[in-house]
Amino acid sequence: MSIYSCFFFRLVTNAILHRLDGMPEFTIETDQLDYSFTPSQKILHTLNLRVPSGSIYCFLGPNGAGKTTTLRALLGLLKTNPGEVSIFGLPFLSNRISILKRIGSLIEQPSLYGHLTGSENLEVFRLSYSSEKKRIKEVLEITGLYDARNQVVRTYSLGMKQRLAIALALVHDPELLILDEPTNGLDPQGIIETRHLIKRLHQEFNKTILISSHLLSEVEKVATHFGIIHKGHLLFQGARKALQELRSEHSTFEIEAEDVDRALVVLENKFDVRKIDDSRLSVVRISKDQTPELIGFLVQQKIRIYKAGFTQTNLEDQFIQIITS
Amino acid sequence: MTQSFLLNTKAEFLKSKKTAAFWLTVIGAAFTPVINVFKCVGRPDYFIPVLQSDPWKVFLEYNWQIASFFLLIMYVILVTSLVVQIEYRNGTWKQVYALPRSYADIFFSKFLVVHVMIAGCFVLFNFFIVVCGYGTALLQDQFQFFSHPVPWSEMISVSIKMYVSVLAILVIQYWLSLRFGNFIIPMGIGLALFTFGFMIRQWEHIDYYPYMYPFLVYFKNPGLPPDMAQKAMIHSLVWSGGGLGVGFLDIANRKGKG
Repeated sequence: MSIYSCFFFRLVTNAILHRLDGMPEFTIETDQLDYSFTPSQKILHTLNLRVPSGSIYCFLGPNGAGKTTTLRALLGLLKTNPGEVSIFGLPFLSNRISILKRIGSLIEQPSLYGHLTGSENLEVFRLSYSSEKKRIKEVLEITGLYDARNQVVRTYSLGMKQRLAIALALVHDPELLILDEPTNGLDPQGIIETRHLIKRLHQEFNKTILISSHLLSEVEKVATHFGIIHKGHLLFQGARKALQELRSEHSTFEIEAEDVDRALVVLENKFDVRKIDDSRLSVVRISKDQTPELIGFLVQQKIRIYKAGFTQTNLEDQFIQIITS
Repeated sequence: MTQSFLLNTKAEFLKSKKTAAFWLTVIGAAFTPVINVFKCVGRPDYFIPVLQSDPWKVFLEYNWQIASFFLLIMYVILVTSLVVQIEYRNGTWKQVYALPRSYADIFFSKFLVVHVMIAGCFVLFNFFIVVCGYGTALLQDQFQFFSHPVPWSEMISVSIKMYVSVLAILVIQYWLSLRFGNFIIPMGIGLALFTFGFMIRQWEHIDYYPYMYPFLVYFKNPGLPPDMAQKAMIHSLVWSGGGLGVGFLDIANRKGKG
């Protein structure tokens, strides 16, 4: 089964499950979303984002790829055309306020009032969401900031500020969380804490989470779905498994053989092959399905093979490979 | 809708707590009356005879003259920028626009905060005038503040007129402060417009120029028509109504928010 049919099967299954739940299949959908700050400078190119309900969707891309612009467009911070953005199955522009009531967000740096305490910051947002007073204590406990609640926010560490920003996003118990680089600038401990928090929000509180990052390693462990954006183009979108399969298709196939120079001549017309050293060759852009054929050629020519297999590339390498190919 | 607006306005007031705008309101209101205490107590030989017959009237004039001439306009320019800067400085505009609030709610609730601060400044200013008048008499018992009644009606009347006179400046500065994230720009424009107004204050159509309204309302202006103060107040109301409408449409229709 190809990755696309596998992905399609998964989408259909999810769709049926969510329809039974009364939830739309996709919490966020964009339809040919375009955006430009000036007519000559297009930032987003016909983006068709699909964030499945109940997922942790990691929106990945290098700095300047268009992640924040996309998230800002989703929240109505940038003017879009009617029909381009739908959230909870509703067109955003005609349902802006009712949709925003169901979203918690953190865009770019934590947006906090430095002169107020943690509790006061939460109170400001609680009033705007008209949520219950007890939520302040609840979200302070969820984010581990209860003891620091009466401390002025400008004295908080960056990690505490990030956690408070997430607490603000949670104060009205939203169904959807949009978090723009929530681990940005954090130390390894802070990254782990934030990752655990995101996982917990998904598993215990059933939030759909859209999280952007330029560091794949930070989100790789929590994501159920990925979207990869580069220069405003959505290069990949799908479930974790689909990306893993794509990874194996794109990763390097390494061969250790007896006569490397002859093997190179045999393979170079059919594959993208390079000599690594006197005993090894590497083949790039080769899928798993093509490997028996490749081995077959070498066996036919009676070239002895000592070792053959895909080299272990992490998701980070894969991501760079995808955005640079 | 109304309840949501009230809750959001309450949130806006909470944001202004402990800010420079709050302290500017309190200290700004006390500044002139306190200086006048030092002035009177420092030179009793000169000021006791001057304040002899009607101490409150003269003391009130001492305070309002400097306020209407310069300090009130400066205060309005500064406080408006400071209140709006709370969002710019903390990088919170984007979060404000991502809240389930209408654009009108965001625009007018913050405007109400600036408005209440200015109104509060007027109340405090009058309070400090009274306290400082009595304080002067306590420090130097030859000042006759205790033996004369406080002219409440005159104080209220002047305050209302001056309040109306600053409304146009308030609206223009509010719009500029929302438009420009850099604190210096609305401040600079406000100061430049005020200085320019002062240079053209004898112009026969000065009643169309908002930054001179406090000056026109408080002072008698030789060489200008006698109804100039009244015209200035009416035009201030017109400017503030029109400015609010135009300002709101401009901010609500901006391509990028926050």
